Amino acid sequence: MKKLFDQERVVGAALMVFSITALVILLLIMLFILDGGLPLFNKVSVSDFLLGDKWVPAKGLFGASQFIVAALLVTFGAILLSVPLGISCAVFLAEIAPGWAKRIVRPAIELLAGIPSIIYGVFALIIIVSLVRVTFNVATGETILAASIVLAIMILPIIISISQDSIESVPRLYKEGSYALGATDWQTIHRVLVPAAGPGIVAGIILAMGRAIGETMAVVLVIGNVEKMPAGLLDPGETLTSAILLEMGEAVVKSTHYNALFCLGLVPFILVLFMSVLSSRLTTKNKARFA
Amino acid sequence: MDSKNKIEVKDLNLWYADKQALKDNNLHIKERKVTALIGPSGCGKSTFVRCINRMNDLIDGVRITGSILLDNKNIYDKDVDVVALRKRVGMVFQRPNPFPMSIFDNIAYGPRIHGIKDKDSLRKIVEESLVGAALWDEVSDRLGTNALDLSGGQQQRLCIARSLAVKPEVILFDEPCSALDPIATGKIEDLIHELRKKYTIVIVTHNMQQAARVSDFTGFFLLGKLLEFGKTRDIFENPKKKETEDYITGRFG
Ligand SMILES: Nc1ncnc2c1ncn2[C@@H]1O[C@H](COP(=O)(O)OP(=O)(O)OP(=O)(O)O)[C@@H](O)[C@H]1O
Ligand SMILES: [Mg+2]
Repeated sequence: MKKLFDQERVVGAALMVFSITALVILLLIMLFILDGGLPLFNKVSVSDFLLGDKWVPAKGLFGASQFIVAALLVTFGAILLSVPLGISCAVFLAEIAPGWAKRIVRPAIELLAGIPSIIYGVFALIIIVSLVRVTFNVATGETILAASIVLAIMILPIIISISQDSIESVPRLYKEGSYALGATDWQTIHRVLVPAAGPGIVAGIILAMGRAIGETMAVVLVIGNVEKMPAGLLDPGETLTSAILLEMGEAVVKSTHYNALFCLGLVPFILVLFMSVLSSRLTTKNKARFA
Repeated sequence: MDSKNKIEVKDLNLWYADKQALKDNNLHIKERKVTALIGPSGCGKSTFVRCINRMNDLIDGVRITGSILLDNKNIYDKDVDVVALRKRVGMVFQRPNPFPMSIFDNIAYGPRIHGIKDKDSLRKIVEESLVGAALWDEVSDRLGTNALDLSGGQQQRLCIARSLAVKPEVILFDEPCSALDPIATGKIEDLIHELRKKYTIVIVTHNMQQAARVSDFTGFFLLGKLLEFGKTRDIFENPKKKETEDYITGRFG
């Protein structure tokens, strides 16, 4: 007898609808941003936008290179700081920490990932900014470096948890093979475990970069927001997303300024999209290798 | 013709947490002979061989009493350097486990961690080890390719070469052929026959013909205890215990 209500198929269909919805939303957002941003290029050339460094909306100058450079500096600074720390922490948690320490530290780190970014921003404004000012003896601590530091802290949980998972999913056979040849703990970790977990770790770093490029609130509070090409990490700057946040309120809807701000958003959007694809590529490749 | 005892196991007991896996085992392993260990699944064969290179140290909650003498020195003494021990006592696992790196780097791994950096010496060791593991002819022209691209049988011989590269005295094989087809198995058996001239070998196997073919001595384990031990021929032709006979003839139930 045929069932009136085939559970399998209903569940399957529901899941299908949900995932298609997600895809449609993503597409709509993309269209919305493109629609808001692309009209800019009727007035300003793509190269003037990407390479120019004068951003004076009142005069129709929309060179965004200083924002792009600031965003990249902040992101790479954050990665540089958090990767060594994050991987060491992951190695410790995966290989060295006793069980009880793992059970405390891991949830604590995951909690760290859940703190709203404005809280990080306020913390950074008060602590990190002064620390940078005093340590490097600069006029103001509101610099690219301060933003890098707070971002480094914010992406640390991503790097730690993904790296730890990748190290733990390295087959035990590799580890035993290494020990059986007379390797020490340290040799086993840095010659076998970390390289074998490499693709997974890199995927985590890429994901963290995406998060760092997009982060706005914490950054805008500590970076100084000066629309000038930064000369180094101890200069203030303004990132793509901070510019949007600061200027969107005053931009007239559908004006060129408004279009330009959308284009500022398009840059990290495309970068992040590209990075997620790269990251998921690496993850699947990694899974296939261990299968 | 009786050769010297390379390994002497005395009153060996092992517990995983509360569960006793080895009970009062006594056994002598002769130098440059092949000793096979047989017995039903879960009787403690792997646990036993992993005591000989102290691999069980890696497992939490393991407790061991008794002693294992390697050349008359107890490997469980406090002053024993486990790294040096594992260099002398190599191990080949049930599933081939080459590292995810090139063939060359796999073999050079052991020598490198033990401090050999010179390229020429490494190259020489790699070649010798691969020749020793009867793999050289098949891979000499592609030492740079990833070891995971080799066939299962080749991977297992690579793992044997990898342990030869640190110049061990004893090699422990834990069911080295259970993941291989008969042809690859035959190659490994021939290889063990060769290796026996230079190394002391202990092999765990579920395959009775294999034990009979490759070994000089055989030990039969049951429920964590070495029930019978002797010359392979005697064990297979004249087992003293009924359990041994039942197991060998496949009547074990
Ligand atoms: N890490 C471990 N923790 C707890 N118990 C274990 C562990 N490893 C093995 N045991 C137990 O110890 C006993 C002996 O296991 P062992 O792996 O040595 O048997 P074996 O003879 O090698 O079996 P097989 O032929 O299936 O490989 C089994 O009862 C097993 O469940
Ligand atoms: Mg076993």
